[in-house]
Amino acid sequence: MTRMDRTRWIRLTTAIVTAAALAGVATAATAQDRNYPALRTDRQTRTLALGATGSLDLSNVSGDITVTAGPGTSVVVDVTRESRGRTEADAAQGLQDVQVAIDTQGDHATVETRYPKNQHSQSPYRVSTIYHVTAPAGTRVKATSVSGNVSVSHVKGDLEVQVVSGDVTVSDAARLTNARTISGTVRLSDVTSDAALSVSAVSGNVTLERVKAARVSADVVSGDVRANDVTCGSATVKSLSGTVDYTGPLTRGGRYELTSHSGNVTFTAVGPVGFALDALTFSGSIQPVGSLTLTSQMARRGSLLGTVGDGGATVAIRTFSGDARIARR
Amino acid sequence: MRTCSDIQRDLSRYVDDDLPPDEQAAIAQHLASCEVCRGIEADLRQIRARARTLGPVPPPGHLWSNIADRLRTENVGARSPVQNPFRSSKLEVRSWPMSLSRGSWAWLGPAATLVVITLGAYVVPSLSRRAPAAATPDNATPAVSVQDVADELDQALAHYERAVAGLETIARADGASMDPAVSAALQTNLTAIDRAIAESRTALIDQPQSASARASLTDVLRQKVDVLQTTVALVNDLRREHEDDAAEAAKKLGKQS
Repeated sequence: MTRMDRTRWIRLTTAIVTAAALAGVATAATAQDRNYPALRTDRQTRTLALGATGSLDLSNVSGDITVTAGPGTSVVVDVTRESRGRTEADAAQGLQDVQVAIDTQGDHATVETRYPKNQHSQSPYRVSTIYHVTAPAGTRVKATSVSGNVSVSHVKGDLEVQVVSGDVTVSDAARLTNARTISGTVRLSDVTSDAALSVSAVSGNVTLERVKAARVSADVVSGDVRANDVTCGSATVKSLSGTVDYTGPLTRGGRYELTSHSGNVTFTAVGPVGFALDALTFSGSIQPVGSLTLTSQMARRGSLLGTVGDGGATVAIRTFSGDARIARR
Repeated sequence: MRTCSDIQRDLSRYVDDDLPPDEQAAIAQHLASCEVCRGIEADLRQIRARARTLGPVPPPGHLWSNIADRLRTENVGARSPVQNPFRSSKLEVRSWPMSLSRGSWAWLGPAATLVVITLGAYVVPSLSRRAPAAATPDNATPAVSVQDVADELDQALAHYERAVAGLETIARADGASMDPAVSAALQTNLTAIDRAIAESRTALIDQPQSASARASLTDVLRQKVDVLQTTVALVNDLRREHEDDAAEAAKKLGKQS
């Protein structure tokens, strides 16, 4: 690795360290409110003339974000800062130190919660910032938060939501590409995307209801994945220790991979397109359910291959110790 | 519209020319206009080149059986000079949770990045691609022993362990810490993944030819990579305004090394 490459690499990784440190300072807030009895709040509203299809990049550290579509061509950002301090003076200092920076260039706006540099965990205040955003439906939105729930509804522009600790809820969105959290749940309903949709939670459940996308990827470590009425060209759905439950119509030529290490996998194909089944388990069981009929069936211990209907799609199910149930309706 | 995070998730496979042509082309197009992603791509290529200089690893047809034998030997406590090719997972099992419990795990990002590259760019592709070949034990290739594979992986891992150690120094110097709740969640889940890795390994010992055991091990390793990659991507997205701090930290590292 050249010196330049090494420097760049170090810059990237140490930047992550720095961000993580700042995140830690802020997200310790909620658990320690009792140690910070004084409360000061501040509320401000900004109107950003971004047009009907502008873009908004919103980054928060601690506090919830709510984005919903509204009339007009401007984005309205309502910000409430809550500063808790050991004393009233500390709380006031918190409001002074933690600021919301709004930068607008053309049809793009960046809204960020900024904490002072070198803030440490013994800081005499804790500040959380709550955003309520109303944007034209066509606005492209990227919302990022370290600690807090993010909820987005009725946004039809490109949409991406990433949270470290908190729940992600998206409803009635037209171009969602990413919804991620490390610790929290992800709930998507009435969501479409003409591209790939990636959903992940390390610790928490993922629920997809009435989702349409070119490709769907859902990945959970400890939590269940429930995908109901999902329509896509291909899907990769995984949980390590939770159950995977997938129901939806298949696309001819599509591939649907459902995996759980120790949880059960239930797959229900809906509609006329059949599938070639390739199911594999180490110590669980594989069972067709109801009236499912497999042709060209080949069953061995822990393995079931066969064709359902016209075999137009491919369904691959993998479990280690969980059971697999396959149905069609 | 794919974001930098999306692109970076696929960069390893891109470098490996392992994506469908349209996705390869889309990433190439993105790289042409994105210096950050281009830099990471360059790093990946460098690291892969380094890994390859450690020697080729042709897929011996009997690899899985041999690995199972080796694991079985380890499990009964026999100390062998040959390291287990899955030592990468051991490294994580041992070092990550310990570091997390100390509360100074802000180096998770950089360490994860390095582990991701180690696993994602080297180990996992090797496993996932070569595993199927093992199902046909008679497809004799030039004999490459488990010792060879293990030695190469050991060298690669040693390289990254040194890098991780350097980054840990920075993290400690900065007094970095993370939200305890998130830290605990990650620790719990990494432990769960490691447990699954151990289960899969045990299954492979019992049934070396089991396709499901092989698939499970590969899947779980890949999932661990995904978790670390997700973590890095999330935190990475928050780093922008702290580039100055990062540069200062990088200077410190330069002086130390």
